[in-house]
Amino acid sequence: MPNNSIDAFTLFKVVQSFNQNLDDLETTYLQLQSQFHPDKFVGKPISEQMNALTQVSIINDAYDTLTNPIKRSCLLLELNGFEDVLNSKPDGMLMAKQFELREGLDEAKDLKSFLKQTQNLQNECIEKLALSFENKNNNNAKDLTIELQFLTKFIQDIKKKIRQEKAKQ
Amino acid sequence: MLTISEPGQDKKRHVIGIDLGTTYSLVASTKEDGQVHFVPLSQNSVSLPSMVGYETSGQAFFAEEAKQAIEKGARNVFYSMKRLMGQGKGDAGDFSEHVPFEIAGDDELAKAKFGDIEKSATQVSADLLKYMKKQAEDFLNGAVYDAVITVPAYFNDAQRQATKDAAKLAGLNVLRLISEPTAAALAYGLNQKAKGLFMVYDLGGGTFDVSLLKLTDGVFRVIATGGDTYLGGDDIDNAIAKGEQLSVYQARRLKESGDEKAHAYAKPIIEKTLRICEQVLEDAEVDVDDLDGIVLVGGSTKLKLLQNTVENHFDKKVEAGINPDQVVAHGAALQAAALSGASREDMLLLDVTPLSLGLETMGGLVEKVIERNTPIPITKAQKFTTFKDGQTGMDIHVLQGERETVEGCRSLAKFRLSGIPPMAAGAARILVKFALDADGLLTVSATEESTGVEQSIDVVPSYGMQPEEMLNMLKDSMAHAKEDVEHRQIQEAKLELERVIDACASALQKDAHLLESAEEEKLKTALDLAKEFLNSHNRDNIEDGMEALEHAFQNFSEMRVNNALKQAVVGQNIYNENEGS
Repeated sequence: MPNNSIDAFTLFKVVQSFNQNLDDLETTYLQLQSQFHPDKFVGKPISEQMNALTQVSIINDAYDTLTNPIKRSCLLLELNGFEDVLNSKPDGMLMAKQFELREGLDEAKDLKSFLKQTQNLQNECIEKLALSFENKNNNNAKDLTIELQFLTKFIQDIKKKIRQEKAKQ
Repeated sequence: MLTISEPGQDKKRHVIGIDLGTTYSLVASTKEDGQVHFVPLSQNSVSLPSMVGYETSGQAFFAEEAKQAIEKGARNVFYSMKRLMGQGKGDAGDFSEHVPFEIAGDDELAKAKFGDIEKSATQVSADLLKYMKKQAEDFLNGAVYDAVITVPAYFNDAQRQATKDAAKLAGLNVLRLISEPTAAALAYGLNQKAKGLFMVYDLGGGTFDVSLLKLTDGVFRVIATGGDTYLGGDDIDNAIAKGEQLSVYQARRLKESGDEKAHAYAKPIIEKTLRICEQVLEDAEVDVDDLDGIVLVGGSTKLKLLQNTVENHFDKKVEAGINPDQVVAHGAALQAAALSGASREDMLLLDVTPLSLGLETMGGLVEKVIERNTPIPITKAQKFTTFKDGQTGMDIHVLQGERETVEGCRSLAKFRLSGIPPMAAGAARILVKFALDADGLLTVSATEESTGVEQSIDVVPSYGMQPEEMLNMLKDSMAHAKEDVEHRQIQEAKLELERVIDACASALQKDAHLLESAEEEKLKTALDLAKEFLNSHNRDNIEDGMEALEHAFQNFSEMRVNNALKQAVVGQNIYNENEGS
């Protein structure tokens, strides 16, 4: 996040919390867009158009951050002094878990149910993450964020595999 | 000076919406009553065949005249030119097999050619637009300057730019380029007062688009989009013509008659579109059951077979409220009115970028900076660092596409950030910024943060991506996903090993005095051995090599850390003593 810009929570006027109401965020997002979208500045001075362009870029980016649990969590951790969370090394427990899941994917007979299981793990992880932030356990939140990133990527891998299997048929 | 207008003459400047299609084009405008009116463009019709005939004198002819010339076998009438928009000659694919004119030009710009007449897609489109502008001015009884023009959602930067250029040549100011399915959703949404999540399935003559849109209180938000700029109803005609030994016109008639024979040719093309739909739903993490409706757009969706196949596949009834031929121009006219302030409707279109944008990183990999389906306009920055000690320059290679390797994506631009002061590997902080504006045009800039050295470039590609290339890129990214991941992992493992080797070698050079000579030799041997592993294509081997190297250097590393600590403590003591004295 650039130093001189306001953070996404402030821009959307919501509390710095992991728990967010997506419907409220969407309402605010659409309000901000209606106000700042470049389409509302057609025929206005170029400086105003450019300004609108910058504003809406920031709004789009902030909305993306707030609605994506991984990015939202990273921002919260950043605001609490953590840096470069997603590039930190996973701990031993997580490494073992990753190993087990990857092997599971290689051996899975029913990919659809394996996907469902992994999606459940992802949901659990998000719940635990919310709890960690509630309990102000930032270190735990950091580990869970790394785990969530892995699970999210892994789910994409499973979906890719399902597509490949489908294409083979 | 005062200008006095003639009584009765409409001095109002009109804004129009244009659907510039592969086979047909339409123009529409809202009048004072707020209703959308279509401009008559040819005999008894509001649609104009997208074809322009050229006399040897250079004189252009249109509409019925052009159509009749083609039916008589003329080769000086250029049509379906949208397929060449923003493309090089090599990008034309088998297009020349299906048209009576030649494809000339170069790698930068394809041209249609007959005898001495050579025209690019931009030039032919400009002539069409000029003709439409004139018809609109006659119909609306006033000058026309501003227009909203629709483009396939899946058009890339080059194709969009070429469309904008054509408008400029025709004397039109483009208020905004909007995506065809988005325009259709706009017309549909405002007319039917629809709300919720909709899938717009748009199969035209030459292009296929699918967009997911969320409609809420005048805001039309695209959630995800996909498509193929080289897939359309024409492909069904061409397949029938080839398979049944018919002319393209006879083939089209056979298709439209609903003949069983045509079904076999249409099926594979419809299947392709359905696969793209599935991908878009998956990208957006939307379940078919969550859809409030499917809207069919484009002339090719009038086929009963297509309607039935789509309905059966998604188990949902399709909506056909507005004429699928006219709905895109209808939406464009509404957006034109909204942008010019002439509309009573308070509405807003929010669109996304159809393809991911990224940068080449070490090992021929692509690091995505803006993912596909990101709402535009958007600015995203990514931090990079130098790889080698003392590195003073960095090549910035901008790419578009979904694959993870450079070869699998389309190159948009290359430039060099130079003048980075020599630093240790990994110390420089290079910020690369991608800015995508509301028309989808990209600007890239790179800055070295500690010194402020900056370079930037407007990415306006000189030629378009090969259409097959684009289809293949998406297809490949699915089929080769595994291969990509493996390739990536091997490259990353090698880079990691190279980094460790560099670090060990420089440590050994610096602090060899801490070691006995026999031990130093042992470490040198370990280094040489590790270098051998850089040639391996097996990830496990590379990782084993790294582990062995790290193991060999473990003791030495500890010695160095201890030594450094001692030095630091000594320094501290001296400082304290000085202060105390």
